[in-house]
Amino acid sequence: MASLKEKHILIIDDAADVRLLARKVFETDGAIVLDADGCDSGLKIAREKNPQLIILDLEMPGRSGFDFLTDRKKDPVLLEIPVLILSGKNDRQSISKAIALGASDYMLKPFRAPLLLQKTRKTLRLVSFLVKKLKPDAHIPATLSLNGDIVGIHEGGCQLEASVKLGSGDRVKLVGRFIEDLGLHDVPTTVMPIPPTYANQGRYLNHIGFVGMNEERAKKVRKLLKDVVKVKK
Amino acid sequence: MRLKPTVLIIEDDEGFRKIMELVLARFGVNTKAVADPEEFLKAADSLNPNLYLIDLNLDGSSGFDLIKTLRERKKLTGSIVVVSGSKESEAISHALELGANDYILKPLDRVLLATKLSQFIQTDEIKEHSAKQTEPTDGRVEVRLSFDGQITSVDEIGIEFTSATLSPKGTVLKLNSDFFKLAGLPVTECLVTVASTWLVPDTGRYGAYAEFDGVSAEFQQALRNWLSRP
Repeated sequence: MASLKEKHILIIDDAADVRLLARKVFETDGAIVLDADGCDSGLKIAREKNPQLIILDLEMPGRSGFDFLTDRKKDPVLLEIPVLILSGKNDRQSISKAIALGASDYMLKPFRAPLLLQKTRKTLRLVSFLVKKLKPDAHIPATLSLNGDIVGIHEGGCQLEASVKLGSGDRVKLVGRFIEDLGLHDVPTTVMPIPPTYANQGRYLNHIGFVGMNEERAKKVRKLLKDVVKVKK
Repeated sequence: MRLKPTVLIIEDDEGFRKIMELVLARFGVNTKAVADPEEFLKAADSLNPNLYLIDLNLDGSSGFDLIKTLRERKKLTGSIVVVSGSKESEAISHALELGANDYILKPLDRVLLATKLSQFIQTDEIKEHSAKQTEPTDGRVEVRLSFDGQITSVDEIGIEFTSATLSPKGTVLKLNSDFFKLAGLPVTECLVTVASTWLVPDTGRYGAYAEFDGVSAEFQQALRNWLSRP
């Protein structure tokens, strides 16, 4: 596998132990490592030394990693240097924000040395990975799931806020105590042909329909909804 | 002024057909109701309605055939709602697979009909008669949402998949698939983070590349072994 020999890597992290550990990992593989303990010193070294890759922490005293990414966006030279985030923040919003601000990749602390090296090589495009392209008749079905929030509901369907934009006519499945309480756990659900709208913070408002409703079931849901939810003003 | 939406109905029970025509007229909708499948398809071509209401249990012809035919005629873009007395989940699944958008069961009251119609067509009368969206007591309630995709490519870092759903960059998803068993991997599910996304030409579907998250060294070794096999 290709090594990082003579690649210049800048580590920006306020934690001395993380800088030391990452330095050791990269130097063992032949890289030339620079480091900084904050956003401003990181920007200064990046401008002076023009490294080939920046490893960036998000949470630092004073100006954060997000501030670094914001400043980098305004600097055409720095913009050419890929940034790999190495952070303890594992919430979706931080990851999305960092990616939106131009980070190439994201890795969580605590990190494992082989994965850090693998991600670094990938970001620097030093290696080609083993790839298996599946023929169209050999595509493998998959189910993908995530959390979403029901923000409105009636007997015909519900409004679901989630970070994905569901495709009209797609079959989806909703699971949760609320759905069970309404007796809707065995009702198929489909995405209605009402275009999803952008809600906020990278989330979309999707319109879901309950399939196979009849008068009896609708009345039951209507009654239960009165008991468990309040009417939208 | 908003144009009246058009609804085309096929129903061989004369009584029910008349009631539907009457109710839909009161909902401010242009309605044509027929009993004969040939007449239905002719009307579909000439009217290109916004919505079709199809009875599945027609004499001599199946509602399934009509759904299939409508979906083959690409210029007909209206939504299809099946109205049926059949509660069989297989029939529901089959109708949806053929391209129906929804399925409602008889008997149905005016509120349910208006509520379902409101998800496809809008008139002031439908809005007035349909059930109002209610909001959970705390404003929102968390549920687990799952959708289908197809894995098209796998590498050491992640997978490429297609789906009708757009999963933006940074979205964290749980992946369940027979792929893990097929590749001899020591897990049945894992987290992936979407790194890039694109529109697949001519399909209306989205492609996405998502990286494996928090997988073990054993997982990576087993994956490499599988990938290196022809």
